[in-house]
Amino acid sequence: MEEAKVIRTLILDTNVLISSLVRSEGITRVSLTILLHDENCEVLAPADVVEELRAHAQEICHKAGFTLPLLEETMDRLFVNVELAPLSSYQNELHEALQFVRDERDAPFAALALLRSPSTIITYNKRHFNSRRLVRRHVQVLTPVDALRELR
Amino acid sequence: MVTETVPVEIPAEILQLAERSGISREKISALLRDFAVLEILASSSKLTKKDAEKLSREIRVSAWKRLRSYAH
Repeated sequence: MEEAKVIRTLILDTNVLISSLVRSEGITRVSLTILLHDENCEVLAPADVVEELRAHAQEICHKAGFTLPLLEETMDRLFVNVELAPLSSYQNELHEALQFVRDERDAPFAALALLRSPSTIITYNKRHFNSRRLVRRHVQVLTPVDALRELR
Repeated sequence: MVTETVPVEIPAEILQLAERSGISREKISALLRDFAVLEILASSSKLTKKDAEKLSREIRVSAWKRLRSYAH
């Protein structure tokens, strides 16, 4: 009998995507692309936060010196492998999620992680999350590099 | 149409890690293409870590303005 595949659910913080645009952050680009293509992982992000990321594309281009079409093409490619979760899917967890974050603006990521628990939040703001409490709800908080190490 | 060839160095570890992480050989080409596109974009980037942190904060603040009423 074939063994059932264990799919890991990863919640992607937008700060990882922004960091991958910094020239010196090659390790982030390696980790991010592997995680996005790993057949044993499903990657999710709150749709509203991704929408804001796209709304800031012009500003990102201005600061980074990119052309808008190139940035948009890159984002489109990366988001092919990301399931964008609408607010309606994690709205009921949003209030509870406030207990698990030190900065309420990170609540959408925690809410989505609680909804899809067991799950892992992939972020560079580990300090913003109350990891101990989240672990009790089967949610891990890891950097992209640490998440990759765990997959090995 | 003007085309330009940009060399992209694929770290050896990306292939090893990809294989160890359970990515099939067929999917590796898609992974490498995405990595190359991201690498080409970042190779000309003037974005600093500080800029990236500031932008991430701004994005979260804007998103939260829309979402906060659903949390309270």
